[in-house]
Amino acid sequence: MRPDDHSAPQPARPTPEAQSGLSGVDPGWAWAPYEPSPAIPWGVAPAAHLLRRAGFGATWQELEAARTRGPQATIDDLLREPQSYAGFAREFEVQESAAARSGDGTAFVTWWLRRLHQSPWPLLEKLTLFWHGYFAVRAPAGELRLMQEHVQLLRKHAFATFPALIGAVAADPQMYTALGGDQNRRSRPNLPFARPWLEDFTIGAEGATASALTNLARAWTGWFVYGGKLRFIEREHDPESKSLLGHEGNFGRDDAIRLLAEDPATARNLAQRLFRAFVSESASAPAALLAPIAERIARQEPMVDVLGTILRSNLFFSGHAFGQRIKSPVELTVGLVRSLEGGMPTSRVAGELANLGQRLDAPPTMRGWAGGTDWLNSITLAARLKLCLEIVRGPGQYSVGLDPAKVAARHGFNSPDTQARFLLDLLVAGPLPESAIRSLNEAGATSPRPLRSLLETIVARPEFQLQ
Amino acid sequence: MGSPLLLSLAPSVPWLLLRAAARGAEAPRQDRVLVVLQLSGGNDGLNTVIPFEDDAYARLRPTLRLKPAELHKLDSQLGLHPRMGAFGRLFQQGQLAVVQGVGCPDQNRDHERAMLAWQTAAPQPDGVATGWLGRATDHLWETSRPSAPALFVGDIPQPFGINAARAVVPSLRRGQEAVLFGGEAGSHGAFQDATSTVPGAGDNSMLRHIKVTLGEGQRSRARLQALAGPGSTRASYPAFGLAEDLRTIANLIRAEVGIRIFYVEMGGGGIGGFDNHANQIGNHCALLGQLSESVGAFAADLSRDRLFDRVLLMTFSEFGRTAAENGRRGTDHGVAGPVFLAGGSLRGGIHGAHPSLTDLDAGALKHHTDFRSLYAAMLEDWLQVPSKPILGRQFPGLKVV
Repeated sequence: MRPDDHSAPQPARPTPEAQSGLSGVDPGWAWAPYEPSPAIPWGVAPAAHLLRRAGFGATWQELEAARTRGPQATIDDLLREPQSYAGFAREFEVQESAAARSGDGTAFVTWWLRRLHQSPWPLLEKLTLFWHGYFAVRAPAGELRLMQEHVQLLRKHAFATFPALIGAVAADPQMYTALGGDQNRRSRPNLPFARPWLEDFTIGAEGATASALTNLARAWTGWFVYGGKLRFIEREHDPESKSLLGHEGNFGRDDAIRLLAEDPATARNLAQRLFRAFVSESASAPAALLAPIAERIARQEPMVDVLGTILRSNLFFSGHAFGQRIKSPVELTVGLVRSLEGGMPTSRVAGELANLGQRLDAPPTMRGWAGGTDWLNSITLAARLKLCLEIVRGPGQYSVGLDPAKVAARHGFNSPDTQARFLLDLLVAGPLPESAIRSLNEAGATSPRPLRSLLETIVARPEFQLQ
Repeated sequence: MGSPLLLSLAPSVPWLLLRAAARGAEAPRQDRVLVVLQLSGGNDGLNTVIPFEDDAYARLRPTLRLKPAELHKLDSQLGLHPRMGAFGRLFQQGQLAVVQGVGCPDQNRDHERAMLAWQTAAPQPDGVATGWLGRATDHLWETSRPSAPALFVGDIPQPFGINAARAVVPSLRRGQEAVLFGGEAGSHGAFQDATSTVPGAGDNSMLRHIKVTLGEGQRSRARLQALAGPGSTRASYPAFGLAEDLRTIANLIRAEVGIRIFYVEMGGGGIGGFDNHANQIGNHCALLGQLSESVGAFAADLSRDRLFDRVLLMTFSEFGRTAAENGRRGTDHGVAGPVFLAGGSLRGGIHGAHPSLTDLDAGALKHHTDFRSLYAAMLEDWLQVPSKPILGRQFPGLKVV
């Protein structure tokens, strides 16, 4: 027996008050489309919330556009492939392949960061990162090319139905090899290979009985990697009948994966993960609240519609979601630079990401990054603050040409008061306490470079870690 | 925390007083610390702990054999390498344990796979997603929040042994101690402002966690800076990379920043410096000298502050080497090797017999002690965490603590 790696990580235990906060929420109200109201009017703050969650922060121009177009039209745009995307993707894929072939992990991550920073379709990248944490394989040393192809595959199917996505992942030689598929033989089904497909990717640990594991591994027999491609060899396939989730039949790989993907337990688990990634990390949602989302997944709606439902919802535009997530290191850094229209110090950030716990080329386990409060300990949080301060500090080692005064002026904010308001609207989720505003004013008043000092104080605020 | 004024006086007050001041009314923490030192490349255990009375030794090592007179004798049969004087002294003081013949069933002789086996605590490491120390870290993280429970110190990418599923284990590059907890940026007004914010009733649970974590980081930074201030008594360490890393670790232990597991490496990672297939003797002498002197300085530093009894340092290497030298004045990949434990409150001495030099496994010394039994002792008897969920099953712990 080997150490049990598949149990962790679980979502952080919610505090009692956070839990009770969601238990009374009516699912019907929660997932109905949000309409601006006197209680929660549409404006810069909810628009910034949307663009942080559905992307990596927004420039002032993007915020203004969202404010003008309103929530539903803005979400339509976010979900739709922009015209410029195809050209962008072609150019980046060439560079990413070259970086992956070089075998240099930092170059690989650097190009990924560039993509996150520059993509005209941020929501696709956001969802791809979500899937990268969902099917979180680690590239074997020196095999970044496989990793890059895997991520490319996730990107290609990110908005598809879940059965289509997991079907493509199951046919991915990178996954197969990384999970130990090459040791799965007709004479000796490899249960550890089958385990993550059940426990992590579909029905969860409760359903992963010895019988389910054996039958799934048997269904998968006959596949081998030759020349980097998966090939099926009939005589190596176990032809006997298998039993999975109450179904009997001579299942092959694709049949078995489809059965698992279409199971209601899979939909419930995926809904929980989506909720945590897009709505809130501070509380786990009661099953009844997530039921409408799980039902959509179970009905095999494409993810573009499932995610659309989440983003358009009353719950998403409510206090249950505003500021209820901790930024991942990638969201923190890319978001900061993007909002302020600066260049991305990609190789510096790529190096720092490992320290902050988010090496994009090496997720910690198959369940990806635990996230939430697990990002932060006494060392990593201080390192995040330090990095953000360095990025905005202006001239220096990591200077990327961020000039808050210039950006503010570009958008027509010329007085100190309006410039301060501009930076707060752009960068901070939710209102700051009175004491914070006072100290921000002091920072501005006493500094020879008031706006720069203000910016430094904002990115060091605890609230800046939230989104 | 205690008064900042007292902290600024740190260099002139004895450490114990300082600790009391820094902690205020709180009882001093008595957390035990585990330091794991990876020797990369496969250390030649037979020329590290030498059975000098065994005739087979001289036969197996015509050019590499070490002269009995130059060894640091542990008993009538065994001696340490001539360059390991500091280890010899620790042994005499009862602060060094030598665990002989450590390995695992079906040990692989490939560097990467053998290292992974030791790091994951799985003889067949395929598909194991976390290191054994990473799993221990995840366990500690549940109660250590918001302090980082573990840290890797060194210049190579973080070793897999400390890869955790949940907790983020930071790495600290050699000599960069001053950047921890924000470093210089910590004195920036914005940072000060941020860390002085107090959790409020209206905060959501995320924001509360952030504020508490900021406060803890700032306290750690202040303690570390107070200890590094001008006039503080700097312990003397030799000028080796490993010594530098251990000095950093000693400082962090002294500053009580909550880190329970430190991981440090010697040999440069990858196919490391201990991999001596040819003309081994000079390089091996240098490495063992660095190891012994660095750990010796670390022990002396911590002992002076009466902290060594809270520390246990464990060395390991991915495999031992062939008993016979290979005709090129070197040795090839083997199986079992010795593990050293150093600390102020362990059961010093020799644990287990030296593996036979005649009953070999394809030319290499056989193991008789499973590394998981050693790990079980580190986890249960030292860190006081349950070993079964971390090692996969219950192993009988060695009685070394």
